[in-house]
Amino acid sequence: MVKNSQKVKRTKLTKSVIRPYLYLIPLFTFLIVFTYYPIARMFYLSLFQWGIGSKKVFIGIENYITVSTTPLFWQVVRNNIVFSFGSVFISVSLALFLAVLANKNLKFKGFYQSLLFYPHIIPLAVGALIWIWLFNPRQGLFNHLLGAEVNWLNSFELALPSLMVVQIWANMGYYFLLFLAGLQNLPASLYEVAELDGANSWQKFRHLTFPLISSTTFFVILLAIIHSIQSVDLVYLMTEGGPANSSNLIIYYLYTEAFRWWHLDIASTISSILFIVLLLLTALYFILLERKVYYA
Amino acid sequence: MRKIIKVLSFLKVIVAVVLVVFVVVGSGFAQTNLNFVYPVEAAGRLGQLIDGLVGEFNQQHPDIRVTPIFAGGYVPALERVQMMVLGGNPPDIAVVGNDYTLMLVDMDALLPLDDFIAEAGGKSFLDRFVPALLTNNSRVEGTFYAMPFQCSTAVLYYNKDLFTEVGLDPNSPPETWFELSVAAAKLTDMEGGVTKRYGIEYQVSNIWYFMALVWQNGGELARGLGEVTLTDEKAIEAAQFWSDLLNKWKVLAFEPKGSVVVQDLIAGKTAMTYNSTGSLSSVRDAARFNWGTAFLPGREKFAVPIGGGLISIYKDIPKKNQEAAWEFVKWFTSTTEIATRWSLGSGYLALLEESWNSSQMQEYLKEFPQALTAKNQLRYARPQMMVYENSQIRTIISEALDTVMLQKATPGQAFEKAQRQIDQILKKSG
Repeated sequence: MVKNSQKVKRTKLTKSVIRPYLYLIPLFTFLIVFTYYPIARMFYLSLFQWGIGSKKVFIGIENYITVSTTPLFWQVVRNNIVFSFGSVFISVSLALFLAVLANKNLKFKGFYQSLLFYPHIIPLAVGALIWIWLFNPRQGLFNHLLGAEVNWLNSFELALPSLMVVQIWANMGYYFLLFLAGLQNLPASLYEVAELDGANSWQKFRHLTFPLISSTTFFVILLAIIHSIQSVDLVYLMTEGGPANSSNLIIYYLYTEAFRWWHLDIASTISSILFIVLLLLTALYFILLERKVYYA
Repeated sequence: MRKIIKVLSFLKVIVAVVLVVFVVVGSGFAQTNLNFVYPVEAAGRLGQLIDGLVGEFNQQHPDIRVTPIFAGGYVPALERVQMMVLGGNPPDIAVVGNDYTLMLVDMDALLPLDDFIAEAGGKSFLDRFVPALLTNNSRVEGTFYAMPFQCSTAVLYYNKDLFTEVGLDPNSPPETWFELSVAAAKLTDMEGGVTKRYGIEYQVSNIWYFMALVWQNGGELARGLGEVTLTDEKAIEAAQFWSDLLNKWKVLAFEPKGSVVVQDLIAGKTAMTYNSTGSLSSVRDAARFNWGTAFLPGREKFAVPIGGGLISIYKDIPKKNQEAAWEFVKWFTSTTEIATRWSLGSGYLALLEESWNSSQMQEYLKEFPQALTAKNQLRYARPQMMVYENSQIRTIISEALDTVMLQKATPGQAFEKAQRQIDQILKKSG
């Protein structure tokens, strides 16, 4: 009898220990097959010379040396840093500003909110085509309004900023929505107290809103940085990195090496570098900011 | 009793399963299934045309079943094919851009077609094709690895009404670079510092057009498969001419990617453009003015590269698939009636001399004389440049052109820098 109950207990225990893992198996199978295995394989391939017609030859870190001595690699890294800083800073601060405004008790509040979110729902491929027309030097709206003939997408100076504008347009609505959700969770009582103490809007924002939603801000900035580094569709559709790579970004360059030029070894190397950099960036960001962030 | 019913219904299921298996396996044994990667969206006019013709082939060949795989353009189609080859599961048949033959042969992906061609009649078979189209990068070192499928060349499109308006003869379009620049200057319309209309526009970054210019100037861009000669004086002159059109005479609309070149012509924002014969029907359908086509203006001579796609059979597929695939390639490209219909429906140049002489084609050309220009220009047509690392080298040249056009460097400086890069790449790949 006693033995039996022990047995029951043990099976229960094993069940409760094993069961969660059983549930995770389907998900993990997918992750392993489509994410972890490819990552491992990518690191492995980056150690080989592997051209399109040749056999794989082990060459150690030579690919990393090749990549780090390619001027184009550093050019796209520089471009991407400019692109990331500009688009993250502007889109996040604009989103926060608009979210604070839209969080007031306005008439047609829902209407404003959906208007601001709308660009994010438009498929980027369609959005990019619309912007191409807006930027068109001869038939485009911008030059028509300016009465000038600026070649937005085909100039060394303006191509990258033009892409940044579209990136901000496409993502701001999403960040806006995240901020709005964060703002709506804030306790109204605090603001009532602040008002009683005679705080003005800026003081309320500076000393209440901003610290209170810092967890959202933290999350949005991280997301925006990742978006800006992942950005490839805009480059592909609008400039193809041109003129002469002045608007080329890292993922598009990676794509070109892999699927236009079929340098799969170099492409694996670049992705490995990118993977490590993103991992470090994320870790650093978490370590630095975790402590200063307020979680409700 | 209940037991019997159970057994019976079980038997029914078994019989049904066996029957299904028989049907599936049986048809599998009888038919050779081929996939066919084609570089266009399924929904478009061209996709439907291909779908229809493939269906017709399948009907006429009950033992073969070709299934088109539509990939959205030359680049996605090549990506698709490369992935399939690298994954060990190559397509049976594919149409890819005509400057990729060397790359695919280098990968050992393509089946040599010489034996099939010999079987089909050898010289008498090949003689039926328009010579310029047949040799359009379909051979590597003398061996056929592809057959022409869809060919086009660039022609000069021009707005005849605007020619008349500015006092040019609408029936004598420019024939030389000099005449081109004069006409472009007359056709350009400036108002208060803003150009309302440009004389000419074309896709500057696309070296398909640049090649034509270098050849027209008597130069060459490449020697053999492993040498690029970008610093050739004739090439530098050609780039200087383009830069002058844009920067000195200000008669060229700068649209390096060419995404709206045809729309600009249709909207009257430009008066002339270099474009593929592939755009003939869209211009015809949309233009609200009289328009004509002409040879690309020459300098020392006329010259134009042939663009478009070639059809190939892949190597690592079963023997019976290879044979069935050749049956399809032969049927599509050399059955006069099919080849003619394919050309008339798609707007690509007809591959067979017989097609050009057919009554349908004659009638079509009578109604649509602009289409004849390309055929006549074929006398001056050549295969595009094809060297090792073609894709990357083209990118580098087009970047050098961007730099020249935006006056960040002189043609000499930009091309010398590009040449150094190219030499390094070719040295590494060789």
